[in-house]
Amino acid sequence: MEREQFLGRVQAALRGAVLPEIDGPERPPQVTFADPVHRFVETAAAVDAQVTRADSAPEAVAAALRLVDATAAGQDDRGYVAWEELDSLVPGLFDRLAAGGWKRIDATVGTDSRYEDHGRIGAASLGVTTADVAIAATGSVVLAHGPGRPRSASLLVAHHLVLLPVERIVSSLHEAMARVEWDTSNVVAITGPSRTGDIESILTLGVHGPRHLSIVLIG
Amino acid sequence: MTTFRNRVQDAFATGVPIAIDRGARGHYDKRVKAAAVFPQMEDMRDRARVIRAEVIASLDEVLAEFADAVAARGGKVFFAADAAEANDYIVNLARAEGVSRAVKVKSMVTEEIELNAALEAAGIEAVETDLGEFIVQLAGEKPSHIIAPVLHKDRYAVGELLAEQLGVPYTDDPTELNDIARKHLRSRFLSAEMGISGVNMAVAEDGAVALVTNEGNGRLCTTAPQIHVAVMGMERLVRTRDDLAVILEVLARSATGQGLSVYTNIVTGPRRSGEPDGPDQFHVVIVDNGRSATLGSRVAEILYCIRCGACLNACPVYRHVGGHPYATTYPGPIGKVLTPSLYGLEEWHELPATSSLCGACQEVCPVRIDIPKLLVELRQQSTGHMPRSIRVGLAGFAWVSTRPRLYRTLTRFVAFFGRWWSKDGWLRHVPFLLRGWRIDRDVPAPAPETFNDWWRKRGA
Amino acid sequence: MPVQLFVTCLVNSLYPDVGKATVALLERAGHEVEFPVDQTCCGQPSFNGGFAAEAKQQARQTLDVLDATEGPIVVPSGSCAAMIIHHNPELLHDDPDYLAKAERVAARTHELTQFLAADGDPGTPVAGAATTTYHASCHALRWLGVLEEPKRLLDDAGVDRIELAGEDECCGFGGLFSIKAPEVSGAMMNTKIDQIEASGAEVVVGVDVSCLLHIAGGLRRRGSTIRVRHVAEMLAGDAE
Repeated sequence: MEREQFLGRVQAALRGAVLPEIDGPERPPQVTFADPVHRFVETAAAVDAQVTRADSAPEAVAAALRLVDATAAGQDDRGYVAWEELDSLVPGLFDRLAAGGWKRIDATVGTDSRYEDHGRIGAASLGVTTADVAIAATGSVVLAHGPGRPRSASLLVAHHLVLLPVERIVSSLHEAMARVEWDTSNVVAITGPSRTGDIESILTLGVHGPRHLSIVLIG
Repeated sequence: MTTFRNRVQDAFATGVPIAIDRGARGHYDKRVKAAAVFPQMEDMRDRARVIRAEVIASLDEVLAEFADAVAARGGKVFFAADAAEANDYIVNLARAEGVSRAVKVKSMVTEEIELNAALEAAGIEAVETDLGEFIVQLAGEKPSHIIAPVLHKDRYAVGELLAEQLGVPYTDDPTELNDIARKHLRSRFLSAEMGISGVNMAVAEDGAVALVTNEGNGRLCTTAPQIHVAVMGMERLVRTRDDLAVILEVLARSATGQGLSVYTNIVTGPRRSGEPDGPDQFHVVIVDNGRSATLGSRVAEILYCIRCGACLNACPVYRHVGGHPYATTYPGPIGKVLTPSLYGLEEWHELPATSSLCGACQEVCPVRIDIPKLLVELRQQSTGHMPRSIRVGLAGFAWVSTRPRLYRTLTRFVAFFGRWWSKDGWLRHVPFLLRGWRIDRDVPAPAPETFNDWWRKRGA
Repeated sequence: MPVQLFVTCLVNSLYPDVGKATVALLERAGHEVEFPVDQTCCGQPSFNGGFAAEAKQQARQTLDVLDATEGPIVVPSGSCAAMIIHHNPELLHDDPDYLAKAERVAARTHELTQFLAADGDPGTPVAGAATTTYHASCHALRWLGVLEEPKRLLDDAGVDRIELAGEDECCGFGGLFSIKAPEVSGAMMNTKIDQIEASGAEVVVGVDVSCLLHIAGGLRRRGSTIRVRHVAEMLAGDAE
């Protein structure tokens, strides 16, 4: 149906609509925490994310390596995809991963080679990213995708590792929404590892997304 | 068509799976706990209701704003008057782009328009990727709950189904079943040319659509294939990001008791130049399919619904019969209003009557839809379908009720003769109208003296 | 100021003892009780069934009778009280004369236990009462918020009360619903009765005889010895 015709039908319907009087608050209630970082550590753990704290970038690299090794223990295939900016956020991380036998896989999907590229990227078992903002109320990390920031790093892999400067933690979803740049094709708030309760409401982790979500707080 | 009552009788005869009651109560209890640890819940619900009310009251403007914003970000918008138009658009697009396989995120609106059947008819494979929906599709069934589609099956039934359909060794361990589905579906995600999703809520000012899933299939379907088609009921909108946040605050808490679902995926268009991944095309299909008729009616408030499923979990009728006897895409309390208003009360007049009006649905609704009131409204429009005995009986009782002297005489008469019809305060013979009652209850008899007579003697 | 008793049609014809107990309680609390004899049915069954014209006739009759009286109006039924307080003004919104009456009467109307609780009824000990559990009727609970009041009154009267798991779940009555969909209604009732039996109570009480007659009918069919009583009967000491 043409747009104008469709909207005309909606307008006509609105003239006959019987709707309750609108009566309620003009703003949502505030959600704030005195210590958002502490709160985040609790809430992220409650949704089965593994949270580690590090005082500095070098410590964060060391913590990241321990997490990666523990999760990939006994695993021969060591491919990973990562966000490019980690090189400056936590210098040395890529080198240390390489030293540990990890091979970085190019996550770029070509328009004409999409399915071949999926085959290559799908082999990665580890994804390393940062997050633009994190939410203390729910234990979520929010990732805006864009150049140098592949979605696959938080999606196709078995283990998603997030390196997060603590100052990016805010109290509420509202603050997070306001802070994240939407000048991209995709923003995602991730709250724990992939899960389902579809079979008899029994919780299982790692359905289609990562089974492990690790968060290293820096600072 | 069979009646709701027949279908319930059939369901009871074969045994309604215990998993339904357990699952619904489980979700209900999680919601109660989530609300208890979120002190802002009640105020957030109030605000969510206002947001939805304002959008519905100016839906034409909000839709126009949304469509403009999608186009500005490089997406394509199609307005579908009904299911056929929506399906045709998607099938034609798939054909034009040489799509042989589409992966789908669980979506009620695509169930409603029966998109899978349309795709299959065109020779395009449609693969459901939500674990529950995948199981339902393998079984050739329909979902029985709007957010937990396979609530009616226990893990043994799922294990047998996967063994039979996929040729894998039998297991009833949910983690192993999950791994089987993950492996089976992963290659399909990465090879499908089209991803089809619903929309939990769209944001008008940004031309964005938000999709919430726990499994990650929503992100895969909207990332890996070259084309993403988002199908949405025309009412699923908020104006701003801030408003989206409010809806998200109440959505997952009401649905599953989570603060947020695992993946709150906000799609703001096709991938841009320089972005390493994402679809090259983004289409939004906005579906009316009876919604404008609903909007123009006395039950327009039902369009506030954000499809959380909380009313199903709270509903004692749903807990006892499950979703299938409703025989419609939308079961439970919400479905009792939505189904007749989308598809016509003539055909679906029975559903509004199948409620005890207990109000448990309204109590949990995140946008506080007055479902009992809407059910009564639909009942008012369909009294002609009530059995004649009830219509005549109620009309007669009302007539007598406005004549107090006659009322007193008749009730005294009933009290007097009641002793012949009863034994120990219970009726010996149950009136024809109450024959359904006899299945598992006795019927009390009138007392030998009315209160009214007692009072008058007392004063004398 | 006198108290007006709106006894409801079910109590009038099926359970006059509940009305008598209500009178006894109100008088014990020091109220002068009046009973407008021209009252009939509030119209709730018609209203819930979608029979608006019939419901309006009954609502107007009820309002004519009650608006001519003075003092608080007390109703020993949550659903009938909810009809008078909430649904009458809704039903008569396009009838200015009766809307005003409906609002006046609604403002004066109280469900019995809420009235007694607000009254500060000291509670007269009930001798030798059996173990009791409370079923929360839906309309009393969700339209009027009745839950703590009856429990407190029972506790103050020294009744040995235990909590009922699933107390706020519908018993499945729902008036015409139980006739239109007797199987589902019966299944809901059986769940309720299972919960009551599991509680170990000897008596189940409520504030609405419509739910209570449904539960009683199911208990009798099972051959159960559990008794069913209105809260007014318990408080007035008529538990047997």
